[in-house]
Amino acid sequence: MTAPSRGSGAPLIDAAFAEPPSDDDLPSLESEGLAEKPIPLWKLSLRRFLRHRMAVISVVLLVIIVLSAVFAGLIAPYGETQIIPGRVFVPPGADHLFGTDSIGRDNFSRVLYGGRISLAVGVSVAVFSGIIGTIVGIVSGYFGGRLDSFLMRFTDTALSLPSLMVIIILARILGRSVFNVVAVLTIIGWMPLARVIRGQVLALKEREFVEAARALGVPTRRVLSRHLLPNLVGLITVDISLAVAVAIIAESTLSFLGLGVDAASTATWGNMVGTSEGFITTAWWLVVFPGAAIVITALCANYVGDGLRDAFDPTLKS
Amino acid sequence: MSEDDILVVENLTKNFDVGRGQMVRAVDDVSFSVKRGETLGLVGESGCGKSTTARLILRLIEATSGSVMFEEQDLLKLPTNEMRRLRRRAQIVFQDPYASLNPRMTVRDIIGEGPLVWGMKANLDDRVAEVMTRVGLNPDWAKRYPHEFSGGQRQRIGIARALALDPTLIICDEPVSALDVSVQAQILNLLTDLQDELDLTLIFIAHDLSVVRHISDRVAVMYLGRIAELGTRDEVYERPSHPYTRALLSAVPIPDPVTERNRARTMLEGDPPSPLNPPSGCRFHPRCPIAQQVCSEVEPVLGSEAVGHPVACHFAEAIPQV
Repeated sequence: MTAPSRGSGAPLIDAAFAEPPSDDDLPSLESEGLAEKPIPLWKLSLRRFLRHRMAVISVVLLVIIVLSAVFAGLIAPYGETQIIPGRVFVPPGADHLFGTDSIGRDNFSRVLYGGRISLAVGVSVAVFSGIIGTIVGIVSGYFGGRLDSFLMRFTDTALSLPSLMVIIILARILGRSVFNVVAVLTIIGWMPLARVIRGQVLALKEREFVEAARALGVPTRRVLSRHLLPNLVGLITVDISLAVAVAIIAESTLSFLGLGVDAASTATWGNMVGTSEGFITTAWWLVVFPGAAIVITALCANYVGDGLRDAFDPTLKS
Repeated sequence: MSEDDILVVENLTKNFDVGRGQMVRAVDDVSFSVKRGETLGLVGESGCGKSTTARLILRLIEATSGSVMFEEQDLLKLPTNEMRRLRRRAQIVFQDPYASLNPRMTVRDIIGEGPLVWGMKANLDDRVAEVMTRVGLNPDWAKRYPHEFSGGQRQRIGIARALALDPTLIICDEPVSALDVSVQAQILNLLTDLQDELDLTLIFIAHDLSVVRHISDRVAVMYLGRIAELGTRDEVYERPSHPYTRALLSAVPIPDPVTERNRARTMLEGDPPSPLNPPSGCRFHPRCPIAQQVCSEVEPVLGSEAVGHPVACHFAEAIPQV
């Protein structure tokens, strides 16, 4: 497929029309070079993603982490809150892979179970703030005017609040539960995406295919869902995967501060680190293993985000 | 409004608020009419308001004032839902064959979207195949995405999308200026063929005078948001009476080196002035080779007394004809 020049064409000379091309001169339908089989867009994206080695490794690691959290009940040698008598502060070894804690719970089992909450919180926060950010961004960017001014000033204000302070205050008001942690992190998490989406919509709505849709009489709701949204999917996916990392870290911070999920009943990576930071010199394994889980997961989510960004970026051809 | 006029544009004006209390008059008091079945060419330099005029007519941008009578209704006064209904009758083909097709939709979905939203669900695939054949595309390609096609093929897809609703009027906004010269000719011939077969009325916007000459019955020349000259193709090309039209025509290369070298040229100096702050009097006077005192003081009206077709110049009759 040869790309025609995209510049404004050279001035046509009248001679070009002296002999109007007959129908025979038109390219015959079969001859003009289209590829044998259509290559779907997702396949091109997948190819680009697979070239990003760190992203592929990260996907594999994330799959392992997610599966081991989901199947913690099968893999973990001990229960989440099960106390093994006489096994206090056992260092990592053959019996206890990640050691045991101050009251004799198996640290490896708790890291597996804790992953359930940490991952669930991370993914839900990313998805919920992704949805809110997308809706606010599209509405603000497409309709413009006062609605846009209002939404963007609101977003600016929300962005300029010191987020840790807001998290702490909201967490105190709402109380400690997994649901409330998700709520708090979503409330402060959707603004950056809303702004990015709005910017993209401002650019997209000036594109001629959106004008063409309006000229056809396509209802506004369909313009948004069929013309704008599909062209934002890349952006949204990338943002969500990056937001997972941010949310997992934020959940850890909250739990570390004792404002997240209650450590007495439910383990999360964050509250595991939080409740054992006092033992860092005597039982390092209680901090290092859940801490490493947080870092590795967040790192992988970031690499996947990078890979997706490359995969969806149409300016990086094949 | 005469009976065979399909579109009558009167005093169409668009001011863009560019902030700090400043206004750009992108389109200023433009009036013209288009007869059923004819092609009106709209020419002028970049930024003269051609494309804005097209978008104002179709209400893709809302006009500041004026009226657009289309099939006996003033489009600018219609409520949104009635305007939507009339959109089927007036379509647009865009300049950029890359930006004008949604990269995430198949050709079938792009062409079929118009019929789909207007309730033609049953025979949609047949309808898409029919218009694809009409514009010279293989209907087997309907499941493919725009990125697989060449510029000329994409422009055919854009034309097919406009045709799918059976419009009576199609506004072509520089439909060939992004294409190779050989492909330009194919698309232009396709448009004229379609016009004959389907009894279409075309408004053809371009900055290329040769293209407009080839396709138009009548031609309007725009400069800085206003119409400078309006006439039949022969009037404008054989007896150009506005100094701007003459300058534009003398910039068209002649495909004969001897003639080209020896002919007299009217060279235009400088760029068009900013529409933010248009010159006083005649907007063309700072660049005009025959400008006099009066030109900087009094704005000429578009009148046909001087030379038989409407020209906005104080000295239209004084211009020597070649």
